[in-house]
Order: sequence, then C-alpha cells, then structure tokens
Amino acid sequence: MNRVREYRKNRGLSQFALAEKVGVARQTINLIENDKYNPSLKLCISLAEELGTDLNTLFWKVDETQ
Amino acid sequence: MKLNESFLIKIMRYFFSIRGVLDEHSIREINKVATNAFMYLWIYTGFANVALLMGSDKFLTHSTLIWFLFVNLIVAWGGVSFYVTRKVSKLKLNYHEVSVEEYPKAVHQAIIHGAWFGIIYGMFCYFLLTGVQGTFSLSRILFTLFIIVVGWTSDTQREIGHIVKVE
Repeated sequence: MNRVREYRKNRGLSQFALAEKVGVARQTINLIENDKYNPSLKLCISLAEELGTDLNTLFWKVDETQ
Repeated sequence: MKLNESFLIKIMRYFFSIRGVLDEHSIREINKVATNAFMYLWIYTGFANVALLMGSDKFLTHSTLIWFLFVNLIVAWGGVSFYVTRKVSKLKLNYHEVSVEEYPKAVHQAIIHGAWFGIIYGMFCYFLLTGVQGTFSLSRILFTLFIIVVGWTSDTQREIGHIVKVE
C-alpha cells in the first residue's frame, strides 16, 4: 500500500484538491490510494512534489517488521 | 497530467457525454473501449460482407440491399453507440465533479450542451422527414420544434444529473 493518502491527509488536502493540483480526476487519486491503478512516473513525480516528499517515501513498500 | 485531446477524443467527449477530466487513467480506459468497439465493427463488417457475397446471386434485389443497409446501420452504429455509452456510464466518465463555487457554471454549460443536442437532433429529424415526405409543411416545422425542445430538456436534465458537487 502506498502512502499517498497519509501524506495527503497530513497536508490537509481533500482528494479533489489534490486532483486539481496535479491535473487529474478525483477518481484517479482514489484509485491510486487504493492501489487499483499504477500511475505513470510523471504523475508519481507530480504527486511527490505536491505532497512535499519523494518517490521512495510515497511508493516504496516499507517492511514494517524492521 | 491533463493530456492534449485528439479530434476523435473531442468527438467522443461530446457525443458520449464524457464530462470529467481526461487524465492518463481515463484515456487508457477510453482506448480500451475504443479498441473493443473497433474489433466489434471489424468482425461485423467481415461477416456482413461475406453474407452479402454468398447471398448476392439468389437474393440481391434493390429492396434487399436497402434492408441490408438499414440493418447494417442499426447493428453497427447502434451497437457501438450502446456499448460505448454503457461503458462510459459504468466507468463514471460522464460524471462531472465540480466544487460548490463552480456548480452554477457547470449547470449553465449543461443547458448549452442540451440546446446544441436538441438543435442537432431536431435538424436530423427535419431532414429525415424531408427525405421521406418531400414537400415543405408547417406541421413538419412544428414537429421539429417539438423535437428540439424535447431533446434540449431531456439532455439538460441528464447532464445536470451527472454533475457532482465535491467539497
């Protein structure tokens, strides 16, 4: 599971607001947050920039046992 | 991530009421639908032409040819329209999400869209009737105006129903 939802909520953004900032539909943000759609690298970078983080933090699967 | 829209996409956007943002995900979905529609048309065209060739010696008259064209229009055009409209609705591409402030503007756009739909539909009916009946008549003009009003109101109602207010 990626961390888009977590970072979006930390920034106090709604799905609609984030979607407007990166220029996609709200449904697309919802699909990304629920791991039902793999965004392009370009969209991933836009999301990371908008959420003030990097790609690794947002999308790299972290082993929680470590 | 908004993409430049090709002319084909613009036509599809208008006729199939695709109102939302066309981003990479929706373009991908539309491409899948368009590929399926193309495959359907391709296979149907093949079968229809083979059937016509096989039956051409025995059954081909002027009236059967007209019927063949009529059936072709219904199966090909109607089938594709039905399939695309159904898929667009299922994928919720015809939903227009707007903020509360933008809602009146979206409603205004829906009314304009409805007006264009009514006019195009009305003109189509008018020329169809002219082709069948031939001469000019007042009843035909009144019928066309009726069709325009019905097309306008029904399309506007449907469009407004697809506008979703998002906080």
